Amino acid sequence: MSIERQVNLVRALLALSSIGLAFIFCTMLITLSGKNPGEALFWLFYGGFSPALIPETFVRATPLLLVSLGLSVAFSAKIWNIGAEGQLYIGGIVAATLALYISGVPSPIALPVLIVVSGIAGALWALIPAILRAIYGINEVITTLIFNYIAIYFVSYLLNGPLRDPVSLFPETTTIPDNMWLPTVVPGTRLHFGVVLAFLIMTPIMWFLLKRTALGLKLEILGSGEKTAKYAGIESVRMIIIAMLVSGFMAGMAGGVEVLGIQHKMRLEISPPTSPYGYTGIAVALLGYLNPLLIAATSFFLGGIMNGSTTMHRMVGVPVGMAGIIQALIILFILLGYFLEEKLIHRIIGGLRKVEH
Amino acid sequence: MPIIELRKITKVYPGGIVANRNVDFDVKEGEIHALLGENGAGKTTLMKIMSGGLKPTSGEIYVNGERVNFGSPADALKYGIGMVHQHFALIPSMTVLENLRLGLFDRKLSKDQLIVEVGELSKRLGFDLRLDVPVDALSAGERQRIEIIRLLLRKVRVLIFDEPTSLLCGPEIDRFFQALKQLKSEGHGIVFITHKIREALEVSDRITVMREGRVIAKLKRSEVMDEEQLVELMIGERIVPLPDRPRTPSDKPILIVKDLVVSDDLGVEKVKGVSFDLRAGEVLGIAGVEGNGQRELAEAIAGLRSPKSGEVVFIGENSGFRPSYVPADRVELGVAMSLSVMVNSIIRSIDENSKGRIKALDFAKIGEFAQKVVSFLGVKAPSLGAPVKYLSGGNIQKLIVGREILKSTKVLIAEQPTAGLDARSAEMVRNALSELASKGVGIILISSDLDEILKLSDRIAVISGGRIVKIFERAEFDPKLIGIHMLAAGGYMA
Ligand SMILES: Nc1ncnc2c1ncn2[C@@H]1O[C@H](COP(=O)(O)OP(=O)(O)OP(=O)(O)O)[C@@H](O)[C@H]1O
Ligand SMILES: [Mg+2]
Repeated sequence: MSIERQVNLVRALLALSSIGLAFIFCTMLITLSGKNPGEALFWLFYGGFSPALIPETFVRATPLLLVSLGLSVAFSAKIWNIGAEGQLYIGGIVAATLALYISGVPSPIALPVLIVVSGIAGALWALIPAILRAIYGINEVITTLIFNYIAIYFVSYLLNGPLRDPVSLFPETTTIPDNMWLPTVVPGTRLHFGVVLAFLIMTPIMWFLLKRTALGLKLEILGSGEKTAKYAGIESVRMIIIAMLVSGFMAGMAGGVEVLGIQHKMRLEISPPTSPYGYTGIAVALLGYLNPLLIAATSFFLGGIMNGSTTMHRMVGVPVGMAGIIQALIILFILLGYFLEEKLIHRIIGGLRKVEH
Repeated sequence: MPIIELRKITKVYPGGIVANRNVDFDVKEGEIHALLGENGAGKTTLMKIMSGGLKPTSGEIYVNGERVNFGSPADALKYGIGMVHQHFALIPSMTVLENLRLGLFDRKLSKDQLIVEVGELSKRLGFDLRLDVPVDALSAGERQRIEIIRLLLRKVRVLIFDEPTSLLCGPEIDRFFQALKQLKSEGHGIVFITHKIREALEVSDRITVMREGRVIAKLKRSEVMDEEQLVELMIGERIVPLPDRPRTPSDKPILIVKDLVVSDDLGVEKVKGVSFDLRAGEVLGIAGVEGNGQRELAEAIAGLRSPKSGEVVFIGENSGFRPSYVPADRVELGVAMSLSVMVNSIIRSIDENSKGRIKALDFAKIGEFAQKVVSFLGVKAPSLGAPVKYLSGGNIQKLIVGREILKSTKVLIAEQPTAGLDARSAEMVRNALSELASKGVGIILISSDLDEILKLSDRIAVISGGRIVKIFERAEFDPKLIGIHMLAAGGYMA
């Protein structure tokens, strides 16, 4: 077996065993909260992965996937954009506001424009941290994080003030007219065009970009060291800005697609408080080894867990907070496996081998 | 009884590369033990195991006859075993003293005690360390001395060196060996890995030769007859040097360097007004003690460092032209360690290897070129897809040199091109450089190996203290005179 094969095999085993461990922990927690763990886990999986509910899992996974695809581009270059949450909020508010404003424009023109503009809005939100990092070397983790707070409070102000639907009880915009909704692709489900966009269009595009183009390779080289990148003739300033803008674009688009496809208005809870898309996407990108295809699979899995824990809460009465903890635990264990991987892989592969003398 | 003894050590890396097979090795009190072998033979791996940096897959380690297990280098240090790696483990931005304090780990010493102890050690070994300068500002030789002191502060009895002389020039090598002899007379056991057989014969008491993971010869110094015998043992054949190339450099310059002033990362001026030209088909050797501005000069010509003033002009090329460049710092600069051999073989020509407006990578072309690079100097790699960090030091060097030579170019800057290469590979590289020059490529050869410079160059520029103090024509080559100029006014020899 080639090295690559063995490494992949061990990775897969590690991922599975960390998921296994996470569930063992969850069982303990559910038992502690006085519920029947068997029943709870049944509803967790039923809510996430039973055939009838799979379309909902795709719907849930879509913003997660768009965010993490973008992050995979930035993370390849070791540019740690933590600001997807804010970029998503900006994309969402821009999409909703613009949709209300241009509601007279025919949908085939309006919808693509809205999706792209929400992406651009997210990218612009990432631009200042991008410039600060690329030109002045200011740590992007801090700036993008600060920009999240700015974005969310700014959107919150708009939703409570100038953009608030006057008749609604909640801080949210007016519902956009239905010609501005993304069309449903499978009748009877909520599978909207955004799902197709994320899974069937953006996933392959991002895979191609990262794994098959000069740009993807340059980002990866930059990620493995700025000195080497310079030696290789890579303009790191340009690359850092591209990496940030692409990830901001995807996060903004995730916000836009969620507004146009599902919420049909901009709300403060556009991103679920127990596992916000912008932050969960960071874990998804890492869990998927920055590989768009694995990221799509991981998004689907986590989307299922997110939906399933709501079902578990409703059916068995496991508290919402507990459901949140369980989600977090699953991510935590998988990440733990990921960070231990380098050590474990060497041990395991080294240990399995018999030496021929 | 030996201080440390390795028995039946086997090391299997992930992917099943067997780096050591059933190796026995030991170090005795008061001996200098040379470890030889071709690139990828398993020398570094074995020494890392002996100093706690790697765990053996199987086999046993005994210290003073007692069975031990090293969990980490710190463990090995507790048993008195320490290693100086090829890439020094010092923190560049910190001063020498700070680095020494860090190296104490759990040994408690006040700053004053430390200074006193360092003073005593330096005196015994004939070092004159500057304690309050940042490590960044030091030459390779000085850094090495700090590493030695650092180990001695931990009271080690066995010192292991991985290719300690590969980046040092003649006088610095002599000083290093002086220190080794002193350590030996104090009862320390010393192991050093080297590719320079003459050195092994000069200072060692015992020589162990490895090949393909096995020990194939253990010799006392007195049992060795001559250099050729050892080379043959190491690589299984004799090396016959090729006859010298016809020397027909044109007088047409292809590169003009004028009044060049370059600073290092700390803003210290390292190149202080250098002018020369390079002609097509010429090898211009640059001789000097490491740290006299060679690196900054090379980086400025290669376009990696903007000069403070002065000009670098490639005749007949547009301003974006970048020459081929073999950097001395292979790990930090030359390769992306976590990326594949394939990607690394085109790392400096990505755009040329992609097609269309979207710049899709042309994998057929890349694979073909990578294969060429790998076979050119015989890079030993598990596969083209394997990350470069799986390669031995010498094989990484072969990858870089091969890549830069095979890429068509008019100017090549080769900084320490044969450092870390075994005798055969080094000879192959020298021949390849010669051939390149006869095809009309202009080569700037920067090397600490004066013999190499003397052999290959058409002219030799001596750099000292950031200035070119003299340029010798081939007819005037004289190692002694060149050596004197290397230490001329301004050039430092710490
Ligand atoms: N981290 C690693 N993972 C996998 N294989 C490795 C690793 N490091 C070294 N190897 C392999 O182990 C073998 C021995 O490598 P080692 O570095 O010990 O050689 P060496 O004798 O020091 O060679 P050199 O003279 O080139 O430094 C090589 O075939 C190399 O490819
Ligand atoms: Mg080595």
